[in-house]
Amino acid sequence: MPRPHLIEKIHDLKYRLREPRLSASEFVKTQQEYDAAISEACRKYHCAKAELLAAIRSDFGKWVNQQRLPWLDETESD
Amino acid sequence: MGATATQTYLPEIAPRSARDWEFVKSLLQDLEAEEHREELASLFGQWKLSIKAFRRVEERRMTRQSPDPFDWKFHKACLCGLISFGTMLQIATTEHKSEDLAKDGFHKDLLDALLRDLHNTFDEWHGQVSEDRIKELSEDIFRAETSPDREDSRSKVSA
Repeated sequence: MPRPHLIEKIHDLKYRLREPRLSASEFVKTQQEYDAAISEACRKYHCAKAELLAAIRSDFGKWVNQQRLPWLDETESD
Repeated sequence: MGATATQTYLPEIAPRSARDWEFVKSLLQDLEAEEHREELASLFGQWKLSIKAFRRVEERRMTRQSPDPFDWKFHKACLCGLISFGTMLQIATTEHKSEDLAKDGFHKDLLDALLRDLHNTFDEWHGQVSEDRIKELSEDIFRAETSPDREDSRSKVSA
């Protein structure tokens, strides 16, 4: 299934927001970039934010696996 | 302590409503006191830890597998609780200067960003978008366009 670059960017930013070692300032900056990318995608696909996020949520896990990125459980211990 | 804000500003307008809000207001009074900034910072820290725990379970139960009906409900309940608590922290810190709060490790910009992130998560999973609309939009998004550098997307996005 083709995945637009903008959606990959949104997945990547979401993944970075979940990274446990992200500093406070990095989180704030990444969150702003995430919101901006979502807004851009909403304009591109003529949809509301909730619609966009719901439409791509199941693709996020596939993207993480395809990129061979570690999950949270694999990056930190209790 | 003298008259509270709701008593002062809402003496006769909707008194029932004012009484209801007064209860909530009383819960917040301690949090609003300047001498309790350290407590606010402590609550902020606990809230962040709760979010961290939530994200781990969310990943395990919602993202890496198909959530069952209980997962959906617990996810929504926990998410709403986190949003509610974070919003209370926002209210409680209204009267405090960011610089003063930062001395105790409370960063308002981080609080705001974490809350926006939680709101996005609510939209993502519980935004009441119909399955038909999700299917239609997914097809629109993933049908037409092929990323030319799909295999190397993360390094490019991160650059």
